[in-house]
Amino acid sequence: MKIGLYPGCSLEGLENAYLVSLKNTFKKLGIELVEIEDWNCCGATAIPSINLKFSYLLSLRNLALAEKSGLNIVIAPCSECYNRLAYVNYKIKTDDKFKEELNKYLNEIGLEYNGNVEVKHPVDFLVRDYGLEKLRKNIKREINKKVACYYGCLFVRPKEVAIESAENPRTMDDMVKALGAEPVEYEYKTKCCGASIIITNSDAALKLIGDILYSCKNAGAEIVVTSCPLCHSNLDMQQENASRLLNKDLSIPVLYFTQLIGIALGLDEDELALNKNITYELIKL
Amino acid sequence: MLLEDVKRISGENPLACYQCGNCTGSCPMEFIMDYGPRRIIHLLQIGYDDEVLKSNTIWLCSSCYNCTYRCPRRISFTKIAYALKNIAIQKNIVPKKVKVFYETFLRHVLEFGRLNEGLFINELVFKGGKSFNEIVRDINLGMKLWRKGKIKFKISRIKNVKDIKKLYEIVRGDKY
Repeated sequence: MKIGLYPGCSLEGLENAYLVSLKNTFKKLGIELVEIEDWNCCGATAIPSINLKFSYLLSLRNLALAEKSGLNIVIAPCSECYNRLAYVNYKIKTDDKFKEELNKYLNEIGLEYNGNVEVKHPVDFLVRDYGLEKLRKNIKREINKKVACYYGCLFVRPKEVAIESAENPRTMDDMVKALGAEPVEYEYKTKCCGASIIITNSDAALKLIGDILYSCKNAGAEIVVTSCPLCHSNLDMQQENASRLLNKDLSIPVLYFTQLIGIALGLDEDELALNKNITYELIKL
Repeated sequence: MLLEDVKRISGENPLACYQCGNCTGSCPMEFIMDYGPRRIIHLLQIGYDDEVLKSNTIWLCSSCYNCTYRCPRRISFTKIAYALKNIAIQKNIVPKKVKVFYETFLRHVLEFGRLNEGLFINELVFKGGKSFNEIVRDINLGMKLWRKGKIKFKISRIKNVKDIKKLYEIVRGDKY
């Protein structure tokens, strides 16, 4: 099985552990990932804030490059990248005026996009395309832990790109169940972690981060699992700052879902870049 | 009029709002906003443009789409907030920290085609208009990241970065 990969800037930067664990996990499952050549930044939330149209063009260029190299499915592991690419893809496929106008701009750099690519988040791909039964067959080691699956915002909202209901999503819960873990029910599954507000108003974001971690711990979780580098850096990297600000013990290991799957598949720590997590010392498996 | 500009940029119609308040009830950042999303839409409807553009609300929207998801009138406040940010940036009504964040981000995209996070976070700490406490907190965290080997200074640059610049030059000339 061969599919396209749009890594995104964060996976090449601070959250490289996600890319390492994703690549090794998928390889173990027999899925070959082909990186889109010369991909550019999706613009995240910063570029649409400056110029909404420019942000659409950034995503469109990536989609055009993927289409040109014959990739039918592209996975975008960062929820922010997924959101931007999937939204533009949806608009191209459903709004002819949008398609015509933006392609006119794209033609200026010798590219065109006709809507032949499908953008998927790897969680969606693993659960719906690859299949949990097949995943289950590859398990070498059961994860006998209580896990809080944190979905965040951007692959369950808005409706145009949502892989399932944002009120009580189940895909990751089903996934960790297939690994032998017990998913916990908690209130803050899809409550925002503050994303880049951590840069412009850190105290406000730390409050949101603290509320999420507290809610996970309160539900009895021993591990938090994330599917987005922004969520991960907020819950993992900023955990100590949130604990201090809210004056609560919020310490809990935060892993990427790819790291948890990798452990269940029998991959070693280096293959999953586990020690890059700030909460690495808290992991007890 | 601000309302017309918002409509054109976002493709959303704030006049369709009947003020139910689902957006404000769903907003995670509402607790520190001058006005919640519902009131911003109302202020837009009645033409209180200055109040809207000078409120901290637009800079606190984290783009979580909770309001958008739950709006019974299918209005995306998230996109309205993006349009308001576009307009406020053009008019240069932007808080310092936000301005540094966006300008640095844009520079990376135009210069490298990608965001180089190692360089980016360093630039933000020192030019970011941050308070002393925040800088101390950032430096502490930075040391931890450095020890973990998470910060890389190797620059990642795309081959056709001129294409990105060209696209920006074409659309920045459009009215908004």
